Amino acid sequence: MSLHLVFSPAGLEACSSRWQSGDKFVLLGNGVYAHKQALDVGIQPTDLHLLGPDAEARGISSEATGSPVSIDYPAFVELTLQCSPIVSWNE
Amino acid sequence: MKYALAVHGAPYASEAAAHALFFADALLAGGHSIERVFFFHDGVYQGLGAQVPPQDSFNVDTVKRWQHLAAQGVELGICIASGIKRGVVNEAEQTRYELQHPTLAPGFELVGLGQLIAAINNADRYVEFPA
Amino acid sequence: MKRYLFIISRSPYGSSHALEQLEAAMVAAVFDAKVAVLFRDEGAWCIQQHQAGAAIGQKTMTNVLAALPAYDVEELYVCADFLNTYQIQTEPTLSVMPIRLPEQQALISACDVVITAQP
Repeated sequence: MSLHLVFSPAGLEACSSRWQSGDKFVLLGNGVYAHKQALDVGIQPTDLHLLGPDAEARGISSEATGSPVSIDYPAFVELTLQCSPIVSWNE
Repeated sequence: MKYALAVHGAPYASEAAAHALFFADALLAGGHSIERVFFFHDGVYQGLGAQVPPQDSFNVDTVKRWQHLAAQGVELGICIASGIKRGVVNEAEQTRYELQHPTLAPGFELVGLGQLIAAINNADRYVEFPA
Repeated sequence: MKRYLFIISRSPYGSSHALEQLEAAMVAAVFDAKVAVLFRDEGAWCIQQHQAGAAIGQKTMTNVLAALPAYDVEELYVCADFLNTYQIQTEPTLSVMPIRLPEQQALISACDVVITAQP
């Protein structure tokens, strides 16, 4: 089970055709802007996470139903414990 | 678990430093260890010693934050090949290339690419923070 | 022995990304890792034939790629979709396997370490 760290909308585009069912995702940095597109490409809401401080800074809220879960850094660490490999996508 | 971290983004051009520093803090607080933080590509600029952070910026002095991490025993390795070609040099390289001043901030060291691979080989997880 | 995948996502000459990724791949192989390289998106231009880096004072990328087997880096893959879309003509002396997206998914999942080193 891989963990995909998506740092930008372009990163999501690159990642979106290279993942497998069951993989987990963290949108961070400018990647949080792509939270709707992430759901549109078929990533399950339960597999998708927004890094909370980055989303809050950018005015992106994940309160709506079906939106990804907002996580803090300890939860981010927890995800990295569960998954391998960890792949970063920025373009 | 043991982690190897890599930072590829330069200061102000990316959030790489902030992400990596907060992540590193969470790792250590969670009882995990960091084999090495390796700075590669434009990430080598994180180790420049002459940076003057803007006084009115929310961002704190990241060099000082890196140095705080180093003081906790975490090795900060600047890729020597990527570093010297971008002007990040220690005293040894300054002398070797007859440059005017060393530019590497205290707390960082210039290391070969092999140190990245060694850290990854020894670690359980590898996490990259891009530009 | 860890299985490494180096992903090259930028074309050669315009930035040092591809060259620096390949240097890292060669070092990993020296450390006895099992190393694969995937050229995706703009990175696929690395394998274009008839390159002449000397025209702009740089190392010719295909010469660097030709030296990889000497460093035990022999698993080279390229995104087949990009190759086809942009009609990239592969340098004939190189051994690079075009793979489609599902195979790229499997390749990523099968590796222990993925180095994207994205600028």
